[in-house]
Amino acid sequence: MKHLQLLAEVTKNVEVGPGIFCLTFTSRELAREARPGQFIMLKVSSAPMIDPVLRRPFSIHKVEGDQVSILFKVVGRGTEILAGENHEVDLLGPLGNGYTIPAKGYLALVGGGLGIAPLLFLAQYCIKLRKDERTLILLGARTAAELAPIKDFRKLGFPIELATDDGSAGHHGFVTHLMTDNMEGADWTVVTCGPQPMMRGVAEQSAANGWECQVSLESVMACGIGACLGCAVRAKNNDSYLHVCRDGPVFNAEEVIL
Amino acid sequence: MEHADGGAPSPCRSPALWAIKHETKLIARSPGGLSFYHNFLFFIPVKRVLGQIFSSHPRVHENAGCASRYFRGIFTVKMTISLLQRNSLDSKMKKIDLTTSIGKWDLKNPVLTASGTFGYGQEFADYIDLNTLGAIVVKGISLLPRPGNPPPRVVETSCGMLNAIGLENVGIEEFIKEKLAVLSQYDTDVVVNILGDTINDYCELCTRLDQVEGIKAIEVNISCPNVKRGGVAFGTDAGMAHRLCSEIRKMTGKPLILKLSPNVTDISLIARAVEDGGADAVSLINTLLGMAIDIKTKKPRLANIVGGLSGPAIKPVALRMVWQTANAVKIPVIGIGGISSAEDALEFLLAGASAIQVGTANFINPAVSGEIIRGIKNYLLEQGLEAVSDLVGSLQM
Repeated sequence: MKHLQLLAEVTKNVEVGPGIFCLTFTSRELAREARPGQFIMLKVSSAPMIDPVLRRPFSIHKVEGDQVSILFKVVGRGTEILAGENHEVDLLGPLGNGYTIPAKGYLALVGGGLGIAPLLFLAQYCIKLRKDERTLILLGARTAAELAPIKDFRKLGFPIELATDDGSAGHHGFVTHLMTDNMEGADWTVVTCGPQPMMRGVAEQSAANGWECQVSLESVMACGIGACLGCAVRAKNNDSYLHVCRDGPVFNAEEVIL
Repeated sequence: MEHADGGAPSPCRSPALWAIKHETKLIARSPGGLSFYHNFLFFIPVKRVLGQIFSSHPRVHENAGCASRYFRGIFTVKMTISLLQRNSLDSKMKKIDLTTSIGKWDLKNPVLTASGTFGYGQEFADYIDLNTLGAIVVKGISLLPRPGNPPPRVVETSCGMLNAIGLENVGIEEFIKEKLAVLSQYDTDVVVNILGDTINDYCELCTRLDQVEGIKAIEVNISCPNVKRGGVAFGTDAGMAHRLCSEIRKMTGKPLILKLSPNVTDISLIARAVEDGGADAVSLINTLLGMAIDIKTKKPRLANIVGGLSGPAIKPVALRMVWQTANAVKIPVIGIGGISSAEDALEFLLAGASAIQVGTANFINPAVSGEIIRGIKNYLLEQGLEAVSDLVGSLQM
């Protein structure tokens, strides 16, 4: 697969929830090349080297025709700039390895918080790849407002269960409780993305049931292309490190220490 | 870093350099890359000129008036002149000599990639034509593989970043077998950066590399701040630096470049010590030791607590040290530190660096080294200089 470096025209930047933005740009090449779970490195400042210096990694949230979207929450200087007015984005991608999607069998997409971002693209893919197979979507957040992006999930027609920490939408509690209620007694493939403690819970529950679990990790990284070695995660089997950008961001939960 | 003029968004004041950057943008979008774009540009004038010559021929335009024919003739002459001018510009560009040398080693241009910022080269092959680089300096290699430091390993700072990777690398044997084999496919010089804990480690590494074809030079890291025994002891003590350099000199005939630490009182003293020890060149600066704290958790942002600062933030410090060192030693100096553009590179060359290395900028724009090479060439053309060597150390005081 060819990695691209390109400038893409921004077509939309919508605040979909409190401080949560969905930024959409045009790139036919990226739309064609990208696979669910892969990410892009975005330069947030427009001039070549103006502060902040580093690119930021974002997973691909949505692909419709030649329109590619990312979903992000304003948490610092970089995302603040991205939330403002941008005419074009400078990006590298698609980077990393995406999810391995089984064509048959039960598949559960378990997302938490902003971790729902790559799962929409994955669900879009499932429509094409496994339309008649059982695909279940379980999404959790702290509060209902953070679940605003779910209307895109609903359009796809897969069964969706929600959980919120404060009970403002769906089940009052963790998304892992939804797994117990909706998945027991069958052979599932689980893919998950969200806060580390949540993914740890999902991975443990999957392991206890003998389900295969793929986790999508986040890390600080300087380059995104395997050069800086900054995005290290500890490997489970030996005393070494794997790298989120090159070996991930999607790992089998058995490979890494969460 | 706002633009003082507040006008055009181009950060370059020189129109030629702006054109280079602009062209790069076009290349990034065009599937055919540089050669396609150039052919296209060249093709249009030829076609137009030929078209004009034919269309102004009397037999083709029998009904056209004399005046019309006259103007067509003038236009043809003008087009031909502009074509000739373009050709002469092309031939001037071709004539510009970018070669530089480090001891016996001749480089095709003075732009190298800094160790630790360019992986083992292959990672960048999709973004930049590796054949165009002056040389690739690979990630630091030790005798045995090293796992590196626990995460978090990097953190962004104002106009820069801190890293504490901890010299994670595949070890010398796997490097030679796997990584070098891939790099050898390219027509670009390879410099291996080495690191060790003892003089013996460095000697063994040099002995091993001396036998390996396809390695043009060895860069000796005596300056990594991120591991307890990462050679930095050799880089902060002139006596030890001298001893190490004299010992490894016996092990190899390949050019030896000693990479110096800025975390010393007087870097030129260390440079002189390794020059006496037989170094062919010095490269500087490695990262500046720094730190960042998360005030919410009240913990250091790096697991290693401290790390090396790099990026545009360190450029003025690096430039000063390169200038100081270039005035203190006779061997060539390779300038490193925050170089992100052709203008930055030119500053280092003016200060006395015979070559430069691009580091952190590779992370942000993996194609930046190519842009820097073209930018240097254009600057020389603008300045009426024929060779990059005319520029080295030509700082006006």
